[in-house]
Amino acid sequence: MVNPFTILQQINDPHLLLVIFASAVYGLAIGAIPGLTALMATALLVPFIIFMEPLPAIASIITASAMAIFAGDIPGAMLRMPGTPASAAYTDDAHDLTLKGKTVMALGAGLFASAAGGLLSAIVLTLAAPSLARIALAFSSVEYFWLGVLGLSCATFVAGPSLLKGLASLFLGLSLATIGMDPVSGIPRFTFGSTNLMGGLGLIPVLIGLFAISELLRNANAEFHGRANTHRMGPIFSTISERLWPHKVGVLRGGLIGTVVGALPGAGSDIAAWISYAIARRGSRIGRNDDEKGAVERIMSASAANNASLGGAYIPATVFGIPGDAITAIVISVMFIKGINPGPTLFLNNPETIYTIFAIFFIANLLIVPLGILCIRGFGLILKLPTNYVSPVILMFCILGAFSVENTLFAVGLIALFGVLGYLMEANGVPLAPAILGLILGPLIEQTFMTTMLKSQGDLTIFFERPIAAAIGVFTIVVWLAAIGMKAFGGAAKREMHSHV
Amino acid sequence: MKVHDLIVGMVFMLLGIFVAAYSRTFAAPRNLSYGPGFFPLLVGTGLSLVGLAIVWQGLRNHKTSPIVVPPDWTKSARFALRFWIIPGVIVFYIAFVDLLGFLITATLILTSVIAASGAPKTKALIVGFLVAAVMNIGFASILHVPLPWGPLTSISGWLIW
Repeated sequence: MVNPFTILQQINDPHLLLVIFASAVYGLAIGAIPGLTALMATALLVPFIIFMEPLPAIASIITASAMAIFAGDIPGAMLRMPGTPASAAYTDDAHDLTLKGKTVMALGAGLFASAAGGLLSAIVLTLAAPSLARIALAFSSVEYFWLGVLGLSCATFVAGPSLLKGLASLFLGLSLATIGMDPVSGIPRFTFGSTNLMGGLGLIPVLIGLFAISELLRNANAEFHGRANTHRMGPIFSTISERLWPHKVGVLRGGLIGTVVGALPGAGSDIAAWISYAIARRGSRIGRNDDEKGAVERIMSASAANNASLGGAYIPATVFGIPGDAITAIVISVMFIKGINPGPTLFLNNPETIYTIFAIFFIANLLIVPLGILCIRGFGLILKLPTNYVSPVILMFCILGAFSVENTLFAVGLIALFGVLGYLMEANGVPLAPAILGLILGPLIEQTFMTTMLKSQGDLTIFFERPIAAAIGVFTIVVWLAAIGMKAFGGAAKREMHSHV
Repeated sequence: MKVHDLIVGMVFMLLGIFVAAYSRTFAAPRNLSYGPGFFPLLVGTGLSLVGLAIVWQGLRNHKTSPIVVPPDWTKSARFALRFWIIPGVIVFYIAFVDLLGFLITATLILTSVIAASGAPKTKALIVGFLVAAVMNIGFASILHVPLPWGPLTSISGWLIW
């Protein structure tokens, strides 16, 4: 049993609290700048946190990403320009409220829903993770194989309008994952004689390239002129507190949707927000209306979902060591570097650490409220940061970040290569998320697949022999059939419609 | 830069064929029935089949969309510079950081990228130098990243503590 005093003791460390506070301010600033995502905030943190103790390092990521997801709402409401993709679902609703002079309403709703959604997911995480971990202790390579495949499948199917391009991205990621030493026999593959490739492609440089550099390339010629309309804001706390109570069900629903979607590997905060928004729009009595109350309901449901998804993603990350999204993929690699090996045994061997990590979730989500209010007030200042100075500094941080994580110039080359690749993929409608998940989960899937195949001497029935494995396997296959069926049916319906027109 | 799905599919197909073909060269250790080439073979085959399907889809609508849509940076030399300077300075960093040291390389990179985005050159140089110096001190002294100093090695002690 875990002693709560140990956890309190671990948290009551001035250094840890300082790191949490600094990361919160950093996350708010990055999230509030349009074009800079929560993932970018996390990737750029790595060179700093790699030199910290394990707990502050993970606390820093948790806090910065939660703050960045909330802060994305601010430019969305004020400029109709979502700061992060996760805020895109309800940007129009929030901006409409701002045009009516109700910025406080729009942002206050997002603020409280974000905090509530985050707290809800933290509760689910704390309650569900330990029991899941007990089940996961009995998992063999087959279960892990199916979990990996299920994650990749979800990532591919939710990635975008084209299933084929999603699949292409997935296979590209899996191919990139095979670079380096083979996990079973240790034979080098696709290294072309380069010692830099022996250990495989470094995750952080690839992520910095695919997400940060490609974003800089895309925005290289985007003129960004914004002026925030902040002078008409009244007091946030008192205006909001009594008017938000009618939306409690929406927040609760959004929080639960967010936690579940976040827990599915590959589906991140933006998808959680879109799903929750759609359900609030169609399925709820208040959210269906086009009036102010309807808009607030939709904003709160979606906003609760995108923050809740962050906590949800830590369920597979801590229990199975399988990342739910790219942010937790970074968290997992940081955990490994810091000697905290994520997986079910973590709950047995090091319960204090894992519960302290969960406790940090509560602190981070509670901090959203006061710091978020300050950020809304200070948004004018963030907008005054001139982008033609900010982007070059971010570029330099990308270079330095890749170098400090791997200590090779080869890693710096990778960010340029993957930056251009990410730019080309996005421009051609090839989603990035499946490739990233393929790269991250590839080694796990290959290792578990090969182990199982060698164990069974090529007999494929082993994949369905154990009950849990069979259940996850059948579920994965059903997901595949449903996705393909929906695409085929959707395509046929579209053709029929065209022929009628 | 947007190209037609025919080309997108073709690229994926060729890449898949390469991965699958190259994986045939990995010899399996004698005691294992499935060697290091087995998984890449499956993945490469999958990639080439998906590429083929994208080509097939592209063939069906090859007349409705153009082969290449020129990106916005082809519109003017200034736009092209702003775009290409990003990969350009990364290559410059790799090529020159050991020779010039971090402080000089980073100052040059920051100054040129800031100036390319339209800021006055003197201001770009001042901001570039100050940011590079802060980064250098922070990463070398606080985070202990072994950044090269180049010709400034003899005075590096002033900036590291």
